[in-house]
Amino acid sequence: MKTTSKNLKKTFLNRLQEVDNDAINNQSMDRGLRHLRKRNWEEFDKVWVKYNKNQATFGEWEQKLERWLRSEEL
Amino acid sequence: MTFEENGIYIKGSHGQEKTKCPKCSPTRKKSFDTCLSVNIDDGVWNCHHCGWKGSLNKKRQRMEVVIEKPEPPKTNIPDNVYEWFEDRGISREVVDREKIGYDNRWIHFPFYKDGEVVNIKSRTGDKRFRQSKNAEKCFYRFDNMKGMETIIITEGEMDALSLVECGFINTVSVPDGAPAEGTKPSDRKFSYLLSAEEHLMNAETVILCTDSDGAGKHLRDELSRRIGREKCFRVTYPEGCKDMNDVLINHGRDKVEEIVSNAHPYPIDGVVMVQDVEDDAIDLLLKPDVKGLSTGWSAIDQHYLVSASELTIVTGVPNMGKSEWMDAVMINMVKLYGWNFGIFSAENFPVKHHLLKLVGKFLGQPFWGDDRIGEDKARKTMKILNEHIKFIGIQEDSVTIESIMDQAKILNYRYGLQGLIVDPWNTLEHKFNDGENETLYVSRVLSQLSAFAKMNEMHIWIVAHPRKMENGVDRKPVVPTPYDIAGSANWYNKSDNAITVHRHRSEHEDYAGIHVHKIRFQYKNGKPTNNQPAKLKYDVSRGVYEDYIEEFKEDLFE
Repeated sequence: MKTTSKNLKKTFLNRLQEVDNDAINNQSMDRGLRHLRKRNWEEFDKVWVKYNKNQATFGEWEQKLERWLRSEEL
Repeated sequence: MTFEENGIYIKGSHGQEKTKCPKCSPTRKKSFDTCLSVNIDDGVWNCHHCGWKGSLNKKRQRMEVVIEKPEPPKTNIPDNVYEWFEDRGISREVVDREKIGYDNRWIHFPFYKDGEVVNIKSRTGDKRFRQSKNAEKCFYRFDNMKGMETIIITEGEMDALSLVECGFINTVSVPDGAPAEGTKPSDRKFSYLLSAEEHLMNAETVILCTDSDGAGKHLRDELSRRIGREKCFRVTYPEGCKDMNDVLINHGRDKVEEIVSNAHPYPIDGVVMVQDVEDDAIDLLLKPDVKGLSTGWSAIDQHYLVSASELTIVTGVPNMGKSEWMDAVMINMVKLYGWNFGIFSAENFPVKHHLLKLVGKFLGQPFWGDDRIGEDKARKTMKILNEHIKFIGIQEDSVTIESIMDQAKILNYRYGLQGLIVDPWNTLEHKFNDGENETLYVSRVLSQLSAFAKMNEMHIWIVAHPRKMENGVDRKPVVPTPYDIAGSANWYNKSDNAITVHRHRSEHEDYAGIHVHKIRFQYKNGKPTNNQPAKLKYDVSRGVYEDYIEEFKEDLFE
């Protein structure tokens, strides 16, 4: 589990590196989009905890990560 | 009997042959026509002209079944059989009192009717069963149901004896157990009810203690249907028990008594008893803050919140922004709560145009002009919308409300829809039943949609146009109410919520008024707007609705 967690962290950091910083810095302050980002982050956070407890798959973790990053760039 | 005796003359001795028909050929114009086909091997014939057909085989004679009364069984029961009963909670006294017999590995349960043995059902320890041949079908312990106000019916003799053991002497058992689940119960199978008709009719209460498996429930349903559900009660067994004998063995006499005394009336189709929904109502009571969800505008929150399993009707004069507002509600619900939607929006075909409008609303940016959305952002937004919005219906097809419900059902199964939008009603192809007018049709379909929303825990919005509206005294369009929707007053009566979207434009102000006319569950979804609508500002270029802030008007000349 320890090794798997390390891999997740690496994947997470690598994916963060690829994110368009300009888009994040200029993200919309629309109320709905702020809610969307917050909700996606919380869902991603939950699935990571679940993954560590062997209750979620890597695919689910990756899907929530993509969903969260996509909303951060809007 | 031969063919000649029936007037049929054939040449061959086997195979198929055609000949003249003794019934119709003599009187026919074409008397030479060999219209009678005869199958010599099978001994059957058929006339293709007059339809006369018959057979050489003797008709099977129906044997009159003579009902026989068996001899009472021998009651000298060995100790090991008594022990077998005691293992199942049945005492020696009950076994002796019920005159149960034993003979060569078979335990015999005598069926007494009017003091005489009319049938014997026998079983072995390994559950092999048999009954007396040509015996009368009647309830086991028939004499004990006579004149009883309450009769308890079980599925087997051991269950009946379990209840007798606990003091319920008014217990009988069906003679043949339960019919298999899913089979159509024949009248013959239930012929034992005939002899008991008088006693069952006179009883005030009939408690059905059938097994809790599928066959037992099937028997219970059929018995209750035949006896009359108004007097039938049923019992609920504790976890791990499927019949009364299980309860007696595992939980003892007190539990059996408790189960019988807690028997509850058989539910009547379409009637909900207080006890059926008691727990749900208490849940609701203990969670008073269960409210609908905000549509995203604080001005509307006190008048209209969105709850699952409801039907909202949205109307408004054409070009006043019904569809735009509906799209905005959908986008807000996606953003705020991640709701999944199915949407039929005929006025926004082709879908690519509609999608761009939704992307614009989602980002709060125009999708046309110089400051339009960039491709990258549009694609990212479309990926999000792809997860949450499914477009129902294509431009070329005629779409009915039934087809929309079918597609929504599949989408709900695959993606879990929370919202369904039908925009607008008049573009659907409406199929009236025979003799159905528009009012009846609207009533029927709204009932179907309301049931669909409840069953699938979905919120359904229907956008419907009003009839042709006259302008008001100021020559401005009048705000229509749901009673003005073309077709039927049922639009107002059968919906859970009713809203009009109306654009108020004058020299001094320009806002989209959300007139909430009806909210069925006001404790959780807000109160209707009375005269003053909830005001929203509509930004045409971005296609976005925002809370309306009234401008301060300073009178410079005062």
